[in-house]
This record gives sequence, structure tokens and C-alpha cells, in this order.
Amino acid sequence: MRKPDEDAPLVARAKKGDTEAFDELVRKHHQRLYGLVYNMTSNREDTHDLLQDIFSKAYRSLKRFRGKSSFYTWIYSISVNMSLNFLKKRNRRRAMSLDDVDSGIQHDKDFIELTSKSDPVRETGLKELQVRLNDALQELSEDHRTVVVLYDIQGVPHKEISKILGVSEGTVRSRLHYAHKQLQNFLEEFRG
Amino acid sequence: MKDSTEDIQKLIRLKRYERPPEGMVDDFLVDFHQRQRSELLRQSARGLFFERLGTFFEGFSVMKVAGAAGAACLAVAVAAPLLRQAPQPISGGSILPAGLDGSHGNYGTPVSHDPEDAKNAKGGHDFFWPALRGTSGDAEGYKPVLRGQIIEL
Repeated sequence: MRKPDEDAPLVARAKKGDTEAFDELVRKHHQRLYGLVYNMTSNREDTHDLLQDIFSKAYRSLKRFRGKSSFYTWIYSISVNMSLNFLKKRNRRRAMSLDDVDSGIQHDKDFIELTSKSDPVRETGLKELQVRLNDALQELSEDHRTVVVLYDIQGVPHKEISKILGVSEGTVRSRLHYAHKQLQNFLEEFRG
Repeated sequence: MKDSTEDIQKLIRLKRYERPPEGMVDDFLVDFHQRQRSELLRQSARGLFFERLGTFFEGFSVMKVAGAAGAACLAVAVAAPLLRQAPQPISGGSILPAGLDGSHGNYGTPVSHDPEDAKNAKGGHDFFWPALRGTSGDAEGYKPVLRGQIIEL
């Protein structure tokens, strides 16, 4: 049995023209969508513009949203598609923007483990690490970058990713495997 | 052999700690509302244009247009037979069709259908048009035709 969509009441109100309800949906999903789009583009201005387009499109298309999937899956699909279309049209990569890193990273067990056993990770400053990770992500094709961003960074399960992208779970796993191998090559110096 | 992609995945996962600048969501909403207002204004301008276009064409109601077309057809139907009547060759040179110049009936000699006659007609040009018959009122000996000859006056 499918879990009820917790956004359903807000979506119902927004469909009737309640702009406050739609603002609430924006606040609720903005951060996650920002993370998705930012990691696809590595540029803050592009991210801001794309998010404006994404939420505008979602607002205009809301009447056609039937609730067959959750609102979250639906708006993720819109975000992925618009990001991919944007990247296809973008001629060259814009300058990378770095976001702040939450201080909570210092207590992350993976971070502690990586910095304790690996000299390169320990000796590389956080900013430099961000740059290297962003560069490596940008080296991937858009399709492979998408699955890495959704699975590794956003923590979206394989099944959900397959619904968002409209591909089989097998395809998701296969793309992830290939993308991880590619990243291993790009981040050679950080290999354990 | 240790799967070193695991370490790479751990590294990539650290990007979860990246955060947009403070207050970004509120600024985002301000921009978003502004954009929605602009889109509404654009839609209103488009809607207004089409509304005005509709009002303009309203003056040309279907009945009025149909009435005008009908009157035009009637006028053509009335004028067509009159225009078909051949001009009357009378001395002095009037080539007005009979009826319009006050005379009736006499359209001169019946026109020959023989191309040789057309060639030999005095003052006529060497060309022959097939005679066009009138549709009604054909009196014996008379066939209203379109002459191919220019008669010297």
C-alpha cells in the first residue's frame, strides 16, 4: 500500500489558487531541489535561474498533476528534465561556484574515517576538496551525473530514481556502477 | 581486494553538507512572486489584445456580411442579362445594346456562322468568333450574337 503523500493537503489548496500553500511547497522543497540543480550545474546563478523556471513550470502545471505519484517525485522529475535540457543547451561550462559547507561535516563518520586514514583527504582543505569533487562530477556525462547526484548526494533510493527518470532500476544501478568507476579515475589521488 | 569505489562514494556523499547562502529561500520567494506578477501582466496584455480584436470584428456581424453578399449576388444576377445583349449597330455609330438606346428589336442582319463570311465582311477584321446565342427572346430571323466584326461607321 502506497504511503499517503504528505504534500497532498498543500497541493490541493494550491490547485484552488492558494498562493500561500504553493509558497509553503517552495519552502519545503527548495533546499533539496537546490542541491540537485547545483550539483548538476556547479554554478549558483544558473541554479537560481533554473529553480525559478522549475517552480514556475510546477505552478503552471499544477492543475494537471493528478497525484499518481507524490508531489516530491513529480517536481523532482520536472527538475531533472529541465536541468538536463539546460545543460544540453549550455555551450560551455560556467565558472564554478562553491557553496558553504555545514560545520556538521566535522562530525560525519565518513569524513572522520576518510581524514584519519587518507593523507590526501586530510591534507586537502575542504574548499579544495569541494573543487575537486565538483570538477569530477562535471567530467561525467549528464545522465551519469544525474544518478550520482540523486543517489549518492541526495540519498534517493534506486526505485524512486527509476520513477523520476522513467528508466528501469537495472538501468539506474548500471549507470551508477559506471559513474563510480569513472569517478574513481578522476579522483585517483584520493583512492584508499 | 577492497572496493575503492566505496571511498569515492563516501567522498561524494560529503557534498550533502553543502548549503546555499543564508536567507536564500526568502530572497528566492521574493523573486518568484515578482516573476509570477510579470507573467500575469503578460497574460493580461495578450488577453486584452484578443478581447479588443473580438470587439472589432463583432461590428461585422455574420448577418450583415451575409446580407451584403446576397445583395451583391442579386445585383450581378440582374445586370448579367443586360450586359449579354449585343450593342445595336445603327447609323451614327451607336453601339448601345438594344433597349438601352431606346430602340427595340432590330439587331441588323443575322450573323453568319460561316468563317468565310467573316473574312470577306467589308471593313471587317479577319477573325471570326463563334456566335453566342441569346438564351431567350429569339425572334425568327434574329439571333442576338456577339459579333466578331467591327463595322465601319
